[in-house]
Amino acid sequence: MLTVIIALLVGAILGRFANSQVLKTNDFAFTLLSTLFVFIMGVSLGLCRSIFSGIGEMLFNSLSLAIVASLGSIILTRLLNKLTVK
Amino acid sequence: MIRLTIACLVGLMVGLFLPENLNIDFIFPMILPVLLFSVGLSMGNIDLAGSIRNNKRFLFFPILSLVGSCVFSLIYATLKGFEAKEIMLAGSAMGFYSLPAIMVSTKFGALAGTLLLVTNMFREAAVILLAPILTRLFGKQSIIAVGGATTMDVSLAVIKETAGDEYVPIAIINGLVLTIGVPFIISLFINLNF
Repeated sequence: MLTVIIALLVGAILGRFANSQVLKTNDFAFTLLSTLFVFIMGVSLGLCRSIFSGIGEMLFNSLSLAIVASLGSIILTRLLNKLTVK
Repeated sequence: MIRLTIACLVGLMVGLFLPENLNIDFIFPMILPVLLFSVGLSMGNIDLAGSIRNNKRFLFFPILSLVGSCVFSLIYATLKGFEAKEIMLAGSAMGFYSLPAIMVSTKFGALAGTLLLVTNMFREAAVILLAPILTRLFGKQSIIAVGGATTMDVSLAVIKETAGDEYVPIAIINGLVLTIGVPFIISLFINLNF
């Protein structure tokens, strides 16, 4: 956690002095890295065979709760947007 | 946006054919700081303070997101006839599963802790894997709402990629407020009698 915050801060500080060429290269590197990150996330998910073989009700309940809780967050934040945007 | 979905699906296929006992989780802590450094670098040109000044309403974003999550978890618990407290604890963790799962396990046992852990892991995975779909269905802000506390680290890269640079400051504020606030909310719910 601390490592990622430090990485973000160091990046932000250095970003103030970066020229357009550096930023362009950074965008390209970011695209590659984010694709790699999501790919590895997919591999990791694929390795969890238990998810696919079904470990029962708990997984289903967790998934449905995650959907419902997320929906609650989405609805209320959309409401904020609707109420405050002129 | 399609690229990320394809990358995930290809990864999933590859994962299914790899030996099950293979552990690749050590790669995430290696890539994540590099990814966040890259986000920080592109953030250098963004006026964070100005962005907050111009979007003061977004300071309410994490609070409303948390309230929405809690209220809907309570409705879910009532409809399904579950223990309201355990469901609300799982719903209020906002994608932050490490510390809250330990707090809940200590007080209510492993099952409640696992429910919180898995629910919030699903939530985190949903942002990373379904960001393009969520954006299309509910708008760009929805990925920040779903991401909760993860929007300042794990899912920040995906938010930047899917919603754009202008949503990075909002995501960081949202993640920061929730990362600090969630452990307090969890301990409050643990000690409340309902």
